[in-house]
Formats: sequence, structure tokens, C-alpha cells
Amino acid sequence: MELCYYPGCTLKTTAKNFEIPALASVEELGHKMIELPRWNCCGTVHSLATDDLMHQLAPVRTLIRVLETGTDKVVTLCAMCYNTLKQTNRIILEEADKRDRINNFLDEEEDYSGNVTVLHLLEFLRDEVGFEKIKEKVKKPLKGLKLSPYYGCLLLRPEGIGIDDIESPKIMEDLFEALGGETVDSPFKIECCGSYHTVNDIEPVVERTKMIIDDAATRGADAIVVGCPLCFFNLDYRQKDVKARYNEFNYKPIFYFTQLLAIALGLEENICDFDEHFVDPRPLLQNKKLVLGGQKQG
Amino acid sequence: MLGSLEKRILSVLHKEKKITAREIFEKLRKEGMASTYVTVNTVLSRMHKRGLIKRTTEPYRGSFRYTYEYKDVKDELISDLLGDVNILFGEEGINHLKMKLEVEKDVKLPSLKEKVMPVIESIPSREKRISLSRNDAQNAIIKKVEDISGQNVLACYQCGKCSAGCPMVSLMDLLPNQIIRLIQLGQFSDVLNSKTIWLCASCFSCSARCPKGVDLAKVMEALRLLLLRKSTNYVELSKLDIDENLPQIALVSNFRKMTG
Repeated sequence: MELCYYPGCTLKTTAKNFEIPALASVEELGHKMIELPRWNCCGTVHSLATDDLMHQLAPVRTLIRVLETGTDKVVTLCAMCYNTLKQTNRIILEEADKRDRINNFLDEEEDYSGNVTVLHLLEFLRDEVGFEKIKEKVKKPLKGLKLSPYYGCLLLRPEGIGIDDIESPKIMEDLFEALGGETVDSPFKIECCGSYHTVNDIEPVVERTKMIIDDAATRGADAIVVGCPLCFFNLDYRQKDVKARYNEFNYKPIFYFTQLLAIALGLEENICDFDEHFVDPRPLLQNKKLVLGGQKQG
Repeated sequence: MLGSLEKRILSVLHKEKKITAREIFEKLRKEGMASTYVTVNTVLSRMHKRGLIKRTTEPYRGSFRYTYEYKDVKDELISDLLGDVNILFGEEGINHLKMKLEVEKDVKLPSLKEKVMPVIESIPSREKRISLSRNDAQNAIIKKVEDISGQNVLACYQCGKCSAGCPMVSLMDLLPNQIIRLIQLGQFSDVLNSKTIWLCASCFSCSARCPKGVDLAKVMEALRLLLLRKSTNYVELSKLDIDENLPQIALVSNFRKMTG
């Protein structure tokens, strides 16, 4: 099955280690993600103002592009893209006056009526591939690996937009159990990582990151797994700043869920590009005999 | 304000010169007042404490006893009474009283007006108190916040669930529920000067949990926009030291949220 795939800016640049294992794994599972031609920026944050339709235009244009490829379904990887595309689509579906005004403005495009389904890759894996099917294809079970899934905000909220239960999601837990791993439950898995504050004020991010990682460590997790490039940056790269402030802090590797999927499916380790990580996860994977002896020391 | 027993005691004291608690009690009983000696004694001590009556200690049978005297306390009583009117009815109540005194010719005590007016003038002005009325709650700026956010801020009943679950709350100068309360009270300068509205990163935890369905993330966005739409920036790009490892989504979302 061919899937229309919307990457967004970050997946093509700083989060290639999220995208490449995703594309390879989906192919291994017998499907193909085909990048949407002429995609544009999603806007990254959904505009929450009722009188601001201008910022809904970029997502609407992208959704029109999806229809032009002859499909009504688009898959995303980045949590922010997923959220903005889906929230804008909801406005088009539910608020007729806004839909009409947007369509009147976009006179060079065909009218859009909200009939694209926006999916996150995790939803596709659960609902269309099925975790049972994935389990059959596992070549290297993640045996002995204790993972703490971290969802953050935009994969879950606001209500009606998320990929799973808003307070108690378990889609990643189910996936990693299908891949042969163990999961550790943390109450911080649905809390914010500090998000874009990481640009101008790292204080909130450093505190959040420390809290999230310390909690996962206390609960016995070997690593934290994410589905958002901004969560990844804050939880991985900002550990440097946490360590600078809290000397007793212990580093914890952070994974994208797609990297673990690729490893469990027996794909080449180098597609995961672990060199991009601040905290090198390879010693942990070597320890669990999931990858061969590595080059870089953590 | 005085209770009924206190009023009766004052009228007894007004007629007599010096009198003991027991004598007052006996007089009141003759008048048919159902009370006990202990109660009268307690009320007398309390009135003395409040400065409403005069008390002297005199030797009596090898020990001592108290005698009570009337004291002119009209001024204290008037200011007491007006204080109560002010607390109960606010500025509207005081203004009503003022109007009555100015208009009515047959004010029973001719001196009352003279005594009351200066006290009225000395009551703290409106700026020192917070009062809530429909007019305050529906001023133009609240309407703007409600229009931009699409939320009814008066629906909030201050349960505090938004603040309880807010991941940024430890760094905030005003709690999320305090932001809503201050908006309800029309106190916008506090709200717009707070760090809270910028610390909110639209994680939607509060929106998901509000039992009254107030989408606080949208209210916070409206408050930021009130400032950003005046072409102000919370984050100055030229002063930022940008880490080249930052993902693009961090930069775009930061500038979308913090610059005008």
C-alpha cells in the first residue's frame, strides 16, 4: 500500500534519524511512504485565536496538495505537524463560516471541505498494519530493554485530536511489547517538555528534562522513547545543560520510536544515525546485544 | 453595630450615674428582659473592651468591684455603623445614605448630618478596594479576550485544576487560575505584566481537564496577542544567541508565539 507522507521541515534536516528508520521500517512491513510533492510548512503551532484565519492557510494548502495526489489520507511523523494539520482540518470540518472564508481567499485552489484524514505513523502501525502483524515480522526482539514511552503534548491533546487516550495513552507501550521489549509507566509521559522555550530560556526545559528523566530512571527505565523532534531535542541535547547544573544527574539515552522499530525488524543499525544523539544509545544496545560493538563511546 | 441587649444596657446607663453589673441586671429583669446575670456581665466586659462604656474599679467588702458609667460614644458608633454599611453595601450603599441625608429635611437628629458627613468623606476611596460589578466584568478588554479566545471567562469557578496540572506552574508569578480570576475582576495590568502568559507553552493540559470547559490555552493565547498585536516582541531576535543544533520547529514555534 502506498501512503502519502508529509515530512515537514525538521524531518528533512535535524531529525533525519527519525525519518530514515521510519521509511525503511514501513517498507519492511510491506508499505511505501511517498513524500507529498510541493509540501509547505505547517506553521508548527496551531493558531488558537478565533480571528486568525491567516495561519490556517498553510495547513489547508498542504491538505489540498494531498487530495491532488489522488488520496484522502496523509501520514506524518512530527508531532507538531500532525497536530497543526489535524486541528486545522477540524476547523474546516466543524466551522462552516471559517471554511467558506478560507476557501474564498484561496481562489487559486480547489475548495477544501475537510475530507483528508490526518494520521500519525503510530496510528497507521496500530490500525492499518496491526501490532500483531508487526510482532510476526520482528527479527531482533528488544529483549531486556526497559523503555519509558514519552508522549508529550501534541500527540495527545487537545481533546479529539490525539492518537490515543488523552490521560492514559498506551499505543507506544503496545508497540514496544509487540517488539519484544518491556515498558515502564511514568506519570510524566503526558506532560510538556518545555517545548519552544528551549530557544530563548532554557530554564524551564532544563527543569522539565531533569524531572522526566530522573523519574524514568527511578522506575528502572533504560531509555526514553519519543515521537516528536522537539521533545527529542529537549530530552536528549538539553541533558548537557542539566548535567552542567546538577552534577549528580545521570545521562539517559533517548530514542525515536522509529529507530527501535527498525532495529527490531532487523534493519541496518546505521540508518538510525546514532551519531546525531547527544547521549549515545549504542552502549545500551550493545549491552542488550541488539547492535554490534560500536565506534563511538558514550 | 449594637445588639439588642447592648442597646438596653446603654439606655439603663444613660439614665443612671454609676451602677454595678448586678444592679443593671435587676433593672433589666424588672423591664421584662429575659437574661442572666452572667450574660449581662459578659456583655458589659465586651462593651468596655470596645470602648463603648466607662468602667471603674472601686474597693468593696475587702476586695473590689466594677461600676459602669455612660460615655458619649456617638462618634464611634457612627463610624462603626458606616463601616458596616460600607462593607455590606459598598460605595453604592454609602452614596445612597449620603443622598438621603442631603435630600430629606426631617432627619430626626439635626446634628446627625453634621456628624455623619465627615465620616463618609473619610471612607477609603474606590481605588483602595476591589469591587466586582457587571460593568467591571464586561469592560472592553474582557470582551476582546473573550472574542479572540472564543471562551467565556466568567464560567470559571476557581477549582484550581488548571494550576494543579500545569507543568510550568513552579516558574509562574501568577497561577493559571489567578489569571482567570484577575480577568474576571478586570485587573488587566497585573495579568499583562505577568510572566505566566509567556511561560504557558500551549500544552493543553488545563484545557483537557477544566470541568467548566474553559479552554485556558486559548485565553493565554488571546492575552499574548493583546500585546503582540501592538507590534511588541517578547523575544528579541537580534538579542538571541541561537544554538545551531536547535530543530527548526523550535525556532518557528518560538517566534510564532513570542514575536509580534
